[in-house]
Amino acid sequence: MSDLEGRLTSALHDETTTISARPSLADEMVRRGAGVRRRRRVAGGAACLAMLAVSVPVWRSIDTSASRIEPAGPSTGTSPNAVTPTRSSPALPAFAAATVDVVHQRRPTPHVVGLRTGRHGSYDRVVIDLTGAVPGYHVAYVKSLVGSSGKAVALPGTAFMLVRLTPADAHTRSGRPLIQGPTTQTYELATLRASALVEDFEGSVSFGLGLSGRVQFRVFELIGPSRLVIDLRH
Amino acid sequence: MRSHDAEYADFVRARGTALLRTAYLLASNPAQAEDLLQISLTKTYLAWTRLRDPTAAEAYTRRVLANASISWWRQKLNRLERPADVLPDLGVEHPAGALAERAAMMDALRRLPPQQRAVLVLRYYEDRSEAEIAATLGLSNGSVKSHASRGLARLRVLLGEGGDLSTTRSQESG
Repeated sequence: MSDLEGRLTSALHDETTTISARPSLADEMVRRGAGVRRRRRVAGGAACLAMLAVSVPVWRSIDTSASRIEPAGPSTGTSPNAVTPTRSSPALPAFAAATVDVVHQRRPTPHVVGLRTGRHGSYDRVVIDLTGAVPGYHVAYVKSLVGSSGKAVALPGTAFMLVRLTPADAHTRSGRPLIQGPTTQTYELATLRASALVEDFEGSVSFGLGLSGRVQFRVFELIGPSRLVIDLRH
Repeated sequence: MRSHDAEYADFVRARGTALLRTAYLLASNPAQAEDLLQISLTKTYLAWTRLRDPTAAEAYTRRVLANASISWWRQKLNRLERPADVLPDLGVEHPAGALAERAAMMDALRRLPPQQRAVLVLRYYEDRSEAEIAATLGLSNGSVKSHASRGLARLRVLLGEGGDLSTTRSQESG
Protein backbone atom coordinates (compact mmCIF):
# COMPACT_ATOMS: atom_id res chain seq x y z
CA MET A 1 0.00 0.00 0.00
CA SER A 2 1.36 3.38 -0.99
CA ASP A 3 1.92 6.21 1.41
CA LEU A 4 -1.04 8.12 -0.03
CA GLU A 5 -3.35 5.14 0.43
CA GLY A 6 -2.29 4.80 4.05
CA ARG A 7 -2.86 8.47 4.71
CA LEU A 8 -6.24 8.37 2.98
CA THR A 9 -7.28 5.41 5.11
CA SER A 10 -6.29 7.17 8.33
CA ALA A 11 -7.98 10.41 7.27
CA LEU A 12 -11.25 8.62 6.48
CA HIS A 13 -11.28 6.80 9.79
CA ASP A 14 -10.27 9.81 11.87
CA GLU A 15 -12.80 11.99 10.11
CA THR A 16 -15.72 9.79 11.13
CA THR A 17 -14.88 8.90 14.71
CA THR A 18 -16.93 11.75 16.14
CA ILE A 19 -20.01 10.95 14.09
CA SER A 20 -22.81 8.86 15.49
CA ALA A 21 -26.45 8.49 14.67
CA ARG A 22 -29.03 9.81 17.13
CA PRO A 23 -30.40 7.08 19.38
CA SER A 24 -33.93 7.98 18.26
CA LEU A 25 -33.06 7.33 14.61
CA ALA A 26 -34.42 3.77 14.69
CA ASP A 27 -37.87 4.85 15.88
CA GLU A 28 -37.97 7.79 13.49
CA MET A 29 -37.18 5.54 10.57
CA VAL A 30 -39.89 3.05 11.52
CA ARG A 31 -42.46 5.88 11.65
CA ARG A 32 -41.22 7.36 8.40
CA GLY A 33 -41.14 3.99 6.65
CA ALA A 34 -44.65 3.12 7.83
CA GLY A 35 -45.82 6.54 6.62
CA VAL A 36 -44.34 5.99 3.20
CA ARG A 37 -45.91 2.57 2.93
CA ARG A 38 -49.33 3.96 3.86
CA ARG A 39 -49.09 6.82 1.41
CA ARG A 40 -47.89 4.52 -1.29
CA ARG A 41 -51.02 2.43 -0.89
CA VAL A 42 -53.18 5.51 -1.12
CA ALA A 43 -51.53 7.63 -3.75
CA GLY A 44 -48.87 5.60 -5.48
CA GLY A 45 -45.25 6.43 -5.99
CA ALA A 46 -45.44 10.22 -6.13
CA ALA A 47 -46.26 10.57 -2.46
CA CYS A 48 -43.35 8.32 -1.65
CA LEU A 49 -40.95 10.65 -3.38
CA ALA A 50 -42.43 13.65 -1.61
CA MET A 51 -41.98 11.83 1.67
CA LEU A 52 -38.37 11.08 0.88
CA ALA A 53 -37.67 14.70 0.17
CA VAL A 54 -38.68 15.79 3.66
CA SER A 55 -35.70 15.64 5.88
CA VAL A 56 -35.54 15.27 9.61
CA PRO A 57 -31.96 15.52 10.78
CA VAL A 58 -30.49 12.24 11.91
CA TRP A 59 -27.27 13.89 12.95
CA ARG A 60 -26.84 13.62 16.65
CA SER A 61 -24.07 16.05 17.28
CA ILE A 62 -20.41 16.36 16.75
CA ASP A 63 -19.10 16.10 20.23
CA THR A 64 -16.65 18.87 20.78
CA SER A 65 -15.54 18.09 24.27
CA ALA A 66 -11.80 17.72 24.53
CA SER A 67 -12.24 14.52 26.50
CA ARG A 68 -13.19 12.77 23.29
CA ILE A 69 -9.85 13.16 21.65
CA GLU A 70 -6.98 11.96 23.65
CA PRO A 71 -3.33 11.48 22.99
CA ALA A 72 -3.02 8.06 21.47
CA GLY A 73 0.03 7.07 23.44
CA PRO A 74 -0.11 5.67 26.91
CA SER A 75 -0.30 8.36 29.54
CA THR A 76 1.46 6.86 32.45
CA GLY A 77 1.34 10.04 34.49
CA THR A 78 -1.63 11.28 36.39
CA SER A 79 -4.49 11.32 33.95
CA PRO A 80 -7.59 11.61 36.08
CA ASN A 81 -10.03 11.48 33.19
CA ALA A 82 -8.57 9.29 30.51
CA VAL A 83 -12.16 8.42 29.72
CA THR A 84 -15.22 10.37 30.66
CA PRO A 85 -18.29 8.21 30.21
CA THR A 86 -20.40 11.19 29.21
CA ARG A 87 -22.98 9.29 27.26
CA SER A 88 -24.81 6.03 27.85
CA SER A 89 -23.28 5.60 31.26
CA PRO A 90 -25.70 3.91 33.58
CA ALA A 91 -24.18 2.47 36.73
CA LEU A 92 -20.79 0.96 35.99
CA PRO A 93 -20.44 -2.75 36.74
CA ALA A 94 -19.11 -3.69 40.15
CA PHE A 95 -15.49 -4.71 40.66
CA ALA A 96 -14.99 -8.47 40.78
CA ALA A 97 -12.31 -11.03 40.02
CA ALA A 98 -14.55 -13.25 37.91
CA THR A 99 -14.14 -13.79 34.17
CA VAL A 100 -16.18 -11.45 31.98
CA ASP A 101 -17.53 -12.90 28.76
CA VAL A 102 -19.74 -10.91 26.38
CA VAL A 103 -20.71 -12.01 22.89
CA HIS A 104 -21.45 -9.51 20.13
CA GLN A 105 -21.83 -10.56 16.50
CA ARG A 106 -20.52 -7.71 14.37
CA ARG A 107 -20.24 -7.09 10.65
CA PRO A 108 -18.12 -5.52 9.32
CA THR A 109 -15.40 -6.71 11.65
CA PRO A 110 -14.51 -3.96 14.16
CA HIS A 111 -10.95 -2.67 14.14
CA VAL A 112 -8.72 -2.33 17.20
CA VAL A 113 -6.70 0.85 16.79
CA GLY A 114 -4.95 1.39 20.10
CA LEU A 115 -4.57 0.81 23.82
CA ARG A 116 -4.21 3.60 26.40
CA THR A 117 -3.74 3.52 30.11
CA GLY A 118 -4.12 5.94 32.96
CA ARG A 119 -4.02 6.05 36.73
CA HIS A 120 -7.19 6.93 38.61
CA GLY A 121 -8.03 7.30 42.29
CA SER A 122 -8.51 3.67 43.23
CA TYR A 123 -7.87 1.87 39.98
CA ASP A 124 -5.75 1.81 36.82
CA ARG A 125 -7.68 2.17 33.61
CA VAL A 126 -6.99 0.43 30.31
CA VAL A 127 -8.86 1.76 27.28
CA ILE A 128 -8.91 -0.17 24.03
CA ASP A 129 -9.77 2.13 21.14
CA LEU A 130 -11.95 0.70 18.39
CA THR A 131 -13.48 1.72 15.11
CA GLY A 132 -16.84 0.23 14.24
CA ALA A 133 -19.03 -1.38 16.88
CA VAL A 134 -17.65 -2.83 20.11
CA PRO A 135 -16.92 -6.52 19.42
CA GLY A 136 -17.50 -9.38 21.85
CA TYR A 137 -14.91 -9.71 24.60
CA HIS A 138 -13.56 -12.23 27.05
CA VAL A 139 -11.53 -10.92 29.99
CA ALA A 140 -9.97 -13.43 32.37
CA TYR A 141 -6.98 -14.20 34.51
CA VAL A 142 -4.67 -16.74 32.90
CA LYS A 143 -1.56 -18.64 33.99
CA SER A 144 0.41 -17.55 30.96
CA LEU A 145 -0.25 -15.30 28.00
CA VAL A 146 -0.52 -17.52 24.96
CA GLY A 147 -1.88 -16.37 21.62
CA SER A 148 -2.66 -18.39 18.53
CA SER A 149 1.05 -18.81 17.80
CA GLY A 150 1.22 -21.09 20.84
CA LYS A 151 4.19 -19.21 22.17
CA ALA A 152 3.84 -17.63 25.61
CA VAL A 153 4.51 -13.91 25.90
CA ALA A 154 6.56 -12.96 28.96
CA LEU A 155 5.50 -9.76 30.73
CA PRO A 156 6.49 -8.25 34.07
CA GLY A 157 4.00 -8.86 36.88
CA THR A 158 2.77 -11.68 39.08
CA ALA A 159 -0.74 -12.06 37.68
CA PHE A 160 -1.72 -12.05 34.02
CA MET A 161 -4.93 -11.07 32.36
CA LEU A 162 -5.94 -11.91 28.81
CA VAL A 163 -8.38 -9.61 27.00
CA ARG A 164 -9.67 -11.24 23.84
CA LEU A 165 -11.84 -9.33 21.34
CA THR A 166 -13.86 -11.24 18.73
CA PRO A 167 -14.68 -10.48 15.98
CA ALA A 168 -11.91 -7.92 15.64
CA ASP A 169 -8.85 -7.17 13.57
CA ALA A 170 -5.88 -4.98 14.39
CA HIS A 171 -4.88 -4.75 10.73
CA THR A 172 -6.55 -3.75 7.49
CA ARG A 173 -7.45 -6.20 4.78
CA SER A 174 -4.22 -5.24 3.07
CA GLY A 175 -2.23 -6.12 6.18
CA ARG A 176 -1.37 -2.67 7.46
CA PRO A 177 -1.19 -2.74 11.28
CA LEU A 178 -3.69 -0.35 12.87
CA ILE A 179 -1.98 0.11 16.20
CA GLN A 180 0.67 2.79 15.99
CA GLY A 181 3.88 2.46 17.94
CA PRO A 182 5.17 -0.44 19.98
CA THR A 183 2.63 -3.12 20.88
CA THR A 184 4.39 -4.04 24.13
CA GLN A 185 4.55 -1.34 26.81
CA THR A 186 5.57 -1.19 30.44
CA TYR A 187 4.01 1.17 32.97
CA GLU A 188 4.72 2.48 36.40
CA LEU A 189 1.17 2.32 37.68
CA ALA A 190 -0.11 0.91 40.96
CA THR A 191 -1.48 -2.31 39.49
CA LEU A 192 -0.70 -2.40 35.80
CA ARG A 193 2.88 -3.30 34.96
CA ALA A 194 2.77 -4.02 31.24
CA SER A 195 0.59 -4.64 28.22
CA ALA A 196 1.24 -6.52 25.00
CA LEU A 197 -0.62 -7.41 21.85
CA VAL A 198 -0.43 -11.20 21.96
CA GLU A 199 -2.72 -12.10 19.10
CA ASP A 200 -4.16 -10.58 15.94
CA PHE A 201 -5.23 -13.58 13.95
CA GLU A 202 -8.35 -14.82 12.17
CA GLY A 203 -10.69 -12.19 13.51
CA SER A 204 -9.49 -12.36 17.08
CA VAL A 205 -7.36 -9.73 18.83
CA SER A 206 -5.91 -10.38 22.29
CA PHE A 207 -4.03 -8.18 24.68
CA GLY A 208 -2.10 -9.52 27.64
CA LEU A 209 -1.81 -7.43 30.80
CA GLY A 210 0.86 -7.95 33.44
CA LEU A 211 -0.43 -6.99 36.91
CA SER A 212 1.08 -6.67 40.35
CA GLY A 213 -1.48 -9.12 41.74
CA ARG A 214 -4.81 -10.80 41.14
CA VAL A 215 -6.92 -7.69 41.70
CA GLN A 216 -10.62 -7.14 41.16
CA PHE A 217 -11.61 -5.55 37.87
CA ARG A 218 -14.57 -4.30 35.89
CA VAL A 219 -15.16 -4.16 32.15
CA PHE A 220 -17.52 -1.90 30.22
CA GLU A 221 -18.20 -0.54 26.75
CA LEU A 222 -18.33 3.07 25.59
CA ILE A 223 -19.62 4.34 22.28
CA GLY A 224 -18.94 7.40 20.13
CA PRO A 225 -16.11 6.51 19.54
CA SER A 226 -16.24 2.85 20.46
CA ARG A 227 -14.02 1.78 23.32
CA LEU A 228 -13.67 -1.11 25.72
CA VAL A 229 -12.60 -0.11 29.21
CA ILE A 230 -11.00 -2.33 31.85
CA ASP A 231 -10.52 -0.87 35.33
CA LEU A 232 -8.06 -2.64 37.60
CA ARG A 233 -8.34 -2.11 41.35
CA HIS A 234 -5.28 -0.81 43.16
CA MET B 1 -42.43 -13.87 16.33
CA ARG B 2 -41.10 -10.38 16.42
CA SER B 3 -42.59 -7.78 14.18
CA HIS B 4 -40.77 -6.51 11.13
CA ASP B 5 -40.71 -3.05 12.65
CA ALA B 6 -38.87 -4.31 15.72
CA GLU B 7 -36.35 -6.17 13.59
CA TYR B 8 -35.84 -3.14 11.43
CA ALA B 9 -35.45 -0.87 14.46
CA ASP B 10 -32.79 -3.22 15.82
CA PHE B 11 -30.97 -3.05 12.52
CA VAL B 12 -31.02 0.76 12.45
CA ARG B 13 -29.95 0.91 16.07
CA ALA B 14 -27.04 -1.44 15.46
CA ARG B 15 -25.85 -0.12 12.13
CA GLY B 16 -27.11 3.48 12.01
CA THR B 17 -23.86 5.04 13.11
CA ALA B 18 -21.72 2.97 10.78
CA LEU B 19 -23.99 3.82 7.86
CA LEU B 20 -24.07 7.50 8.77
CA ARG B 21 -20.30 7.55 8.75
CA THR B 22 -20.15 6.12 5.27
CA ALA B 23 -22.87 8.55 4.15
CA TYR B 24 -20.84 11.40 5.57
CA LEU B 25 -17.80 10.42 3.54
CA LEU B 26 -19.88 10.06 0.38
CA ALA B 27 -21.72 13.34 0.81
CA SER B 28 -20.30 16.80 0.61
CA ASN B 29 -21.74 18.05 3.88
CA PRO B 30 -23.42 16.73 7.02
CA ALA B 31 -26.94 17.74 5.96
CA GLN B 32 -26.61 15.83 2.71
CA ALA B 33 -25.31 12.83 4.64
CA GLU B 34 -28.48 12.83 6.74
CA ASP B 35 -30.68 12.99 3.69
CA LEU B 36 -28.77 10.24 1.94
CA LEU B 37 -29.03 7.97 4.94
CA GLN B 38 -32.73 8.60 5.41
CA ILE B 39 -33.54 7.91 1.79
CA SER B 40 -31.52 4.71 1.93
CA LEU B 41 -33.04 3.55 5.20
CA THR B 42 -36.55 4.28 3.97
CA LYS B 43 -35.91 2.11 0.92
CA THR B 44 -34.55 -0.59 3.19
CA TYR B 45 -37.69 -0.40 5.32
CA LEU B 46 -39.88 -0.83 2.27
CA ALA B 47 -37.77 -3.78 1.11
CA TRP B 48 -37.51 -5.32 4.59
CA THR B 49 -39.70 -8.36 3.97
CA ARG B 50 -37.51 -9.26 1.02
CA LEU B 51 -34.25 -8.79 2.92
CA ARG B 52 -34.73 -9.88 6.54
CA ASP B 53 -31.20 -11.12 7.03
CA PRO B 54 -29.41 -8.14 8.66
CA THR B 55 -26.30 -8.66 6.55
CA ALA B 56 -28.34 -8.40 3.39
CA ALA B 57 -30.12 -5.33 4.77
CA GLU B 58 -26.85 -3.57 5.43
CA ALA B 59 -25.42 -4.40 2.02
CA TYR B 60 -28.65 -3.20 0.44
CA THR B 61 -28.59 0.08 2.36
CA ARG B 62 -24.98 0.68 1.41
CA ARG B 63 -25.74 0.04 -2.22
CA VAL B 64 -28.56 2.59 -2.12
CA LEU B 65 -26.31 5.06 -0.30
CA ALA B 66 -23.52 4.84 -2.84
CA ASN B 67 -25.83 5.05 -5.83
CA ALA B 68 -27.92 7.85 -4.37
CA SER B 69 -24.80 9.90 -3.75
CA ILE B 70 -23.82 9.50 -7.38
CA SER B 71 -27.23 10.25 -8.85
CA TRP B 72 -27.73 13.29 -6.63
CA TRP B 73 -24.54 14.72 -7.89
CA ARG B 74 -25.77 14.20 -11.43
CA GLN B 75 -28.97 16.11 -10.72
CA LYS B 76 -26.93 19.17 -9.83
CA LEU B 77 -29.71 20.32 -7.55
CA ASN B 78 -27.65 19.62 -4.54
CA ARG B 79 -24.75 21.62 -5.74
CA LEU B 80 -26.66 24.89 -5.60
CA GLU B 81 -26.46 25.11 -1.87
CA ARG B 82 -23.09 24.79 -0.19
CA PRO B 83 -23.36 25.56 3.50
CA ALA B 84 -20.17 26.88 4.99
CA ASP B 85 -18.34 24.30 6.97
CA VAL B 86 -17.72 25.07 10.59
CA LEU B 87 -15.03 22.65 11.65
CA PRO B 88 -15.75 20.88 14.89
CA ASP B 89 -13.51 21.76 17.78
CA LEU B 90 -11.06 18.92 17.85
CA GLY B 91 -9.40 19.45 21.17
CA VAL B 92 -5.99 20.73 22.00
CA GLU B 93 -4.08 17.48 22.12
CA HIS B 94 -4.50 16.77 18.45
CA PRO B 95 -1.25 17.41 16.61
CA ALA B 96 -1.83 20.28 14.21
CA GLY B 97 0.04 18.55 11.41
CA ALA B 98 -2.26 15.57 11.41
CA LEU B 99 -5.30 17.83 11.43
CA ALA B 100 -4.12 19.90 8.52
CA GLU B 101 -3.30 16.74 6.64
CA ARG B 102 -6.75 15.33 7.29
CA ALA B 103 -8.54 18.54 6.35
CA ALA B 104 -6.60 18.72 3.09
CA MET B 105 -7.33 15.08 2.37
CA MET B 106 -11.09 15.44 3.00
CA ASP B 107 -11.22 18.60 0.95
CA ALA B 108 -9.47 16.91 -1.94
CA LEU B 109 -11.75 13.88 -1.62
CA ARG B 110 -14.86 16.08 -1.89
CA ARG B 111 -13.58 17.52 -5.14
CA LEU B 112 -13.43 14.13 -6.84
CA PRO B 113 -16.21 12.96 -9.13
CA PRO B 114 -18.72 10.97 -7.05
CA GLN B 115 -17.95 7.58 -8.53
CA GLN B 116 -14.25 7.91 -7.83
CA ARG B 117 -15.07 9.12 -4.35
CA ALA B 118 -17.47 6.24 -3.73
CA VAL B 119 -14.87 3.73 -4.87
CA LEU B 120 -12.19 5.25 -2.63
CA VAL B 121 -14.50 5.39 0.40
CA LEU B 122 -15.59 1.78 -0.04
CA ARG B 123 -12.04 0.63 -0.58
CA TYR B 124 -10.13 2.60 2.04
CA TYR B 125 -12.79 3.27 4.65
CA GLU B 126 -14.86 0.12 4.51
CA ASP B 127 -11.93 -1.99 3.39
CA ARG B 128 -14.00 -3.72 0.70
CA SER B 129 -12.53 -5.89 -2.00
CA GLU B 130 -12.72 -4.88 -5.65
CA ALA B 131 -15.37 -7.51 -6.31
CA GLU B 132 -17.55 -6.25 -3.46
CA ILE B 133 -17.23 -2.66 -4.65
CA ALA B 134 -18.11 -3.72 -8.17
CA ALA B 135 -21.23 -5.49 -6.89
CA THR B 136 -22.22 -2.54 -4.68
CA LEU B 137 -21.91 0.08 -7.39
CA GLY B 138 -22.97 -2.11 -10.29
CA LEU B 139 -19.68 -1.62 -12.09
CA SER B 140 -17.23 -4.07 -13.62
CA ASN B 141 -14.05 -4.97 -11.75
CA GLY B 142 -12.07 -3.09 -14.36
CA SER B 143 -14.04 0.13 -13.84
CA VAL B 144 -13.53 -0.15 -10.09
CA LYS B 145 -9.79 -0.44 -10.68
CA SER B 146 -9.66 2.51 -13.01
CA HIS B 147 -11.85 4.69 -10.75
CA ALA B 148 -9.57 3.84 -7.84
CA SER B 149 -6.34 4.59 -9.65
CA ARG B 150 -7.69 7.76 -11.26
CA GLY B 151 -9.10 8.88 -7.94
CA LEU B 152 -5.78 8.36 -6.19
CA ALA B 153 -3.91 10.13 -8.99
CA ARG B 154 -6.30 13.07 -8.77
CA LEU B 155 -5.93 13.19 -4.99
CA ARG B 156 -2.19 13.31 -5.43
CA VAL B 157 -2.54 16.29 -7.77
CA LEU B 158 -5.03 18.08 -5.53
CA LEU B 159 -2.75 17.59 -2.55
CA GLY B 160 0.11 19.11 -4.49
CA GLU B 161 2.02 15.86 -4.71
CA GLY B 162 2.13 15.54 -8.49
CA GLY B 163 4.15 12.83 -10.10
CA ASP B 164 7.01 15.22 -10.95
CA LEU B 165 10.32 15.12 -9.17
CA SER B 166 9.63 17.91 -6.74
CA THR B 167 7.29 16.04 -4.45
CA THR B 168 6.59 18.69 -1.87
CA ARG B 169 5.02 17.27 1.23
CA SER B 170 4.09 20.39 3.07
CA GLN B 171 1.25 18.74 4.98
CA GLU B 172 3.56 16.39 6.77
CA SER B 173 6.08 18.88 7.94
CA GLY B 174 3.38 21.14 9.44
